[in-house]
Amino acid sequence: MSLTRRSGPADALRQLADEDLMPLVRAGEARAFEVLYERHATAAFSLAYRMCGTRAAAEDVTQEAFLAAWRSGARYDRARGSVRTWLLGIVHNRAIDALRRGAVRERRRTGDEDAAERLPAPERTELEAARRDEARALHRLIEELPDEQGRVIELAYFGGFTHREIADMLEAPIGTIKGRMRLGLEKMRVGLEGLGLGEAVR
Amino acid sequence: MTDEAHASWAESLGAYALGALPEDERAGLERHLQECPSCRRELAELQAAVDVMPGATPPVQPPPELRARIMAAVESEAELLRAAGAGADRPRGRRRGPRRWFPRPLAATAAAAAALAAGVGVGAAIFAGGSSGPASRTVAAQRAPAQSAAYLRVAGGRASLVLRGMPAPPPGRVYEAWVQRPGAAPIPAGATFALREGTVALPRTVRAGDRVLVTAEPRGGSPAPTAPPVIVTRTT
Repeated sequence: MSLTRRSGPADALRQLADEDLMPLVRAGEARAFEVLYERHATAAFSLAYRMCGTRAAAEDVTQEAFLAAWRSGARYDRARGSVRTWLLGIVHNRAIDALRRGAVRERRRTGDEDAAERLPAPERTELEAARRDEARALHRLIEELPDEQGRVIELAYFGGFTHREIADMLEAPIGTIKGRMRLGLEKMRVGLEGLGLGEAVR
Repeated sequence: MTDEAHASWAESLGAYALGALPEDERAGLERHLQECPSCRRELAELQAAVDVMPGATPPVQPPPELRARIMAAVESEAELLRAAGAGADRPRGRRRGPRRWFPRPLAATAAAAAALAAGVGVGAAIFAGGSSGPASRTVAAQRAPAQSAAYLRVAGGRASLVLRGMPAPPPGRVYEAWVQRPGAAPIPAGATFALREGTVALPRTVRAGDRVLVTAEPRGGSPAPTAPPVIVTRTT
């Protein structure tokens, strides 16, 4: 973020935790919302890009998701988890909607033409470096799942496929697919506790 | 509930947390969750694993124009809110039920569900709180096209629609506004338009409890709506 940016949010807002920005967002404070954008846009865009596979579709999904968050800030409830989790949940839902509308799936199948655009973001801050470590640990956690579990979880979460579509793809009964999802997530949760990651289940 | 039914719903919890349940099954599972604390507990645990999945994504920077686009929309809506004053409600995009059931807190979720059922968004209560009286009141549309925002402003029976970022009407069509009194069919509000930003005054009187709808109609307008509404607003 350039320090010379004129119309950016005031530093005072940047001192506030996400959860304390939310009441301001609910009251219609565009600047408070901009701080949330600064903090979470990269994660949101990265998730949308991973799911949609093209920058254009990822931009549409990210824009829809942030505008939905701005318009429905009143529905955020801190007892349910962090603002980041809430925002990324909206991104995930919007990306699934886009995939199921067929808005992006066609293009994604045409190949990996913009894989070259998958440039890593620079590691600018300690927070981002920490997130990168976390990403590696999470990646390992998914990798360590038995293949058949990791595969269905990735197809469901990042591919936006329903259990029926996955069952067709893998030529396995739906019950088996559901069981792999449940078991794999359960293993991940146990692994997360070991890593001290994730949000506490209250 | 039989043990068998419970076991079959419990089997779907992972798929549900991942967003992989088709619409029809999702509704069934959400009903089961309302009466099954043990499934709610397990879902919360599985959800904790799903919630960290975005963290496993390689970071990709969004383009700076994206921020500019989003903030331009946010700022123009913030300005509308300020202009409308304390009586304003928030705009809402596409209306739909919550995709996920979050097991806590129960009471809040039930209240939200009741509010949705009543057709009143949760945001409405917040912005209606400081209403300065019936002189002029602005409410956000319950339904508006994606990426756009629509408000209904009512002052003493005179209503106008305030539009932001409306898509162009389909070729050969115009938007037409309708007033729908409680329990009656929509009647023409006396306004057809192709405006995408700005204010459309409605000649017909709008009373408390009426809904104002907008449909896309053949050029010249129709005596009764021929298409599902793209905008739905309700006065309070």
